[in-house]
Amino acid sequence: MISLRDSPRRELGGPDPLDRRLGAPPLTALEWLKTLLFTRSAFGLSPSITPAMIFLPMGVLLGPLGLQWFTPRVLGRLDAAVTITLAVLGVLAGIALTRELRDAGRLLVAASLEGAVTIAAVAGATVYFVSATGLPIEAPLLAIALAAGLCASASSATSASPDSEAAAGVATRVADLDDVLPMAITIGGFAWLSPTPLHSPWVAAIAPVALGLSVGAIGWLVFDRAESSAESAVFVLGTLALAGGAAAYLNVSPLGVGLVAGVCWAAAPGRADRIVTDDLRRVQHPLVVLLLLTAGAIWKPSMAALWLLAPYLLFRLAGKCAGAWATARLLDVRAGDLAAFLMPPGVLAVAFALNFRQVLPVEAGDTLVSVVAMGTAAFEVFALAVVPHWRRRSR
Amino acid sequence: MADSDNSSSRDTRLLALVILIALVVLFVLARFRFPATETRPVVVAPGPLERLAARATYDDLAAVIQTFLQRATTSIVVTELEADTAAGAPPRNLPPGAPPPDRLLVSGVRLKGDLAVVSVPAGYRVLPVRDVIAVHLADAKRGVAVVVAPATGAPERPAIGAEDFGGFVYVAVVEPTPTGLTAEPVFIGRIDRIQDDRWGGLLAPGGSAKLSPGALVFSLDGRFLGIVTTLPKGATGVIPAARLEAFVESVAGGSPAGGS
Repeated sequence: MISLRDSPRRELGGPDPLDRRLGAPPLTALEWLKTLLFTRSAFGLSPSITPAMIFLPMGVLLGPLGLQWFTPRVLGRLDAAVTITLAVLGVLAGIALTRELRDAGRLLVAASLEGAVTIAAVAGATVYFVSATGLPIEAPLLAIALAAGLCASASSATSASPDSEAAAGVATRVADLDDVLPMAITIGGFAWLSPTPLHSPWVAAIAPVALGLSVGAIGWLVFDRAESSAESAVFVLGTLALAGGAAAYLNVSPLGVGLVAGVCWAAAPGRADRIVTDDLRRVQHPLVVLLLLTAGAIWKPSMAALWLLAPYLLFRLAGKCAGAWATARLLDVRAGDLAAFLMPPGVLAVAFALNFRQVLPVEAGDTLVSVVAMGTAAFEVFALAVVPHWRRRSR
Repeated sequence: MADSDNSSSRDTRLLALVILIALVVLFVLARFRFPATETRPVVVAPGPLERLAARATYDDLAAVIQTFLQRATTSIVVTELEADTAAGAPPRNLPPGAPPPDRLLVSGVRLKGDLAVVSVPAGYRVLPVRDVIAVHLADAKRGVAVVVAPATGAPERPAIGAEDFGGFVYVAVVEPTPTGLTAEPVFIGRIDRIQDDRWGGLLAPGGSAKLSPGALVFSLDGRFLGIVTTLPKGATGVIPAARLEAFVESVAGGSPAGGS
C-alpha cells in the first residue's frame, strides 16, 4: 500500500531538518521575520509571500478605487479571460483528481468530507446571520450562502513547512482534492442560478459534463498529433479557449467543464494529460495573476461585504478545524496539524467567487468577491504569521 | 501512545474551543440589525461573451450612467417639499392651469458632513422626511435649503466639478422618483455664464436641453456640477457646485432651523 506521506512536496524552503531534530535556539525578532518570509513561495520566487497577498492588494490599487487602470469597461472585457482561466484551473484539478484516485481513493473521500464540513459550516452561518440581521442581499439567500461556503472550502496548504513535516504532504494532497466536491456542487449551482437556463435545470446540469467530454475528446484526438511543442501549445490553448468560450456561451460553470475535460485527459490512454500539464505550466502563473488582479480590482469596501465577512472568517476557521478533526483519523495525521495546513485558501477561493459572480446579480456578485478577497487575504496573513508560531508551541 | 492520546485530546479541546468561540461571536453579532438602506433595482450580470461583443455607443453611455448612479447614491439625499400655504406665495414653474401639487420630491447633495443642499421652489418648504431629519437653514431668496441628512455610513461628498464647465458634453441628470433615484444622460451644448444677484454667476445652457428645476447635474465621471434652477425669464440655469459648496460652508456653523 502506498503511504499517504510518500508524495512529493510542492513547496520550497523551510528550516533544516537536522536543526529541527536537534532543536533550534530561540529566534530573535529579526530572525523570526526572516523565517516567515523564507518559508513561503510564490511563483517559485523565494523569499516571497503567496500570490494572493501580493496581487489582491495590487488589483485594488490598479482598480476603479485606485489608479483606475482597471476601469469597469476593462473588467468587463477581462471577464472572458477570467472564464478561460477558470477552465484552466478546472483542468488542473481534474488531472490531479484522476492521478490521486489511482493511488489513494480514500484521500478523496477524506478531502471531500473536510470540504463538505466547511461548506456546511459557512453556508449555515451565513444563512443564520443574514436572516437575523436583515442584511439586504439581491440574490437568493441560499445561493449566496452556498457560494460563500464553496469559496470557503478551498485550501492551498501553502503554509506547509517542507522536508520534515510528515503532515505537510498529506495536507497538500487533501488541499488538492478538497476542491473536487465544491466544483461538482458548482455545476449544480449554476444550473439553479443561471439567468438563461438551457431549457431546464437538468439540461443545464448535464451540459457542462457533455461539454467537458466533448472538449476532452477533441483534445485527446489532436494533442498527440502535434508535430512540435509550439503546435501542441496552440492546440492546448485553443482547446481551453473552446472550453471557456463554450461555457460562457451556455452559461455553465467553466470550472466544471475544465474539471471533466481534465479527468478525460488524465484517464484516457496516451500523453494528453502530460502535454496539457507541460503547456499549461507556461501560462498558468500569468493567468493566476490575472485572476487575482481582477478580483482585487472588483473589491469594494461595502457595508454588506464587511458584515458578511464576519461569518465567513469565523466559520471558515471553525469549519476547517471541524473538517480536519473529522478526517484526521482517516489520514493518520494530527487534527491540529491538518487544520493549520489547510488554513490558506489560495487562488481557488477567489476562482469560485469569480465563477459565481458570473451568474449572481451584479451587486451580490461584487459583494461575494469582496468578501472572499478580504477573507483570502486575512487567512493568508493568519497562516503566515500565526499558524507556524502556534504549531511551534503545540509541539 | 500516551503522547499521541494527549495530543489528540488537546487538539480536540482546541478545536472545540474554536467552534465554541465562533458560535458565541456569531450569536452576539447577529443581535445587531443591518442599517436600513434603500432598495435598488437588481441588475443581472451580462455574460462574459456579451461583454466582449462590440456594442453601440448608446449602450456604453447607458452603462456609464448606471455605474455613475450606483456610485453617486451615497452622496445624494431625497426629501419631500410641502406647499407652504402660510407663505401665501403660489408655487412657480407649473404648467398654465395646473393645480400646484401639495407635495414634491426633491433630491440634494451632501456637501459638508451631514449637511446637504436641496432646491426649494418658492411656495414650498422642506419636510423632515426620508433622508432628512432637520432643516438647518432655508434661504427663500436663493431658492435652496441646507438640510441635515445623516448618512448610514461615513458621509460621502462628491468631487466638485470646475466652475468653467465648457459644455458640448453629456452630463448625468439625477432626479428622485417615489421608489428611488434615477439618472438620465442629457447633452449640454453651448453654455453661457450669466450674472445673478443671488449667486453671483450661473451657467445657462443654450438650446433645448431638458433640465428640470431642482435636478442635480453631474459629469459622467461623477463630479457634481450643480443644481438646476429657474432663471428670472422662465429659462433654466445651473447653480455651479462650487458656489453651492461655498454657501453650505458659510452657513454650516449657524444654528439649525435658521433662515432668511
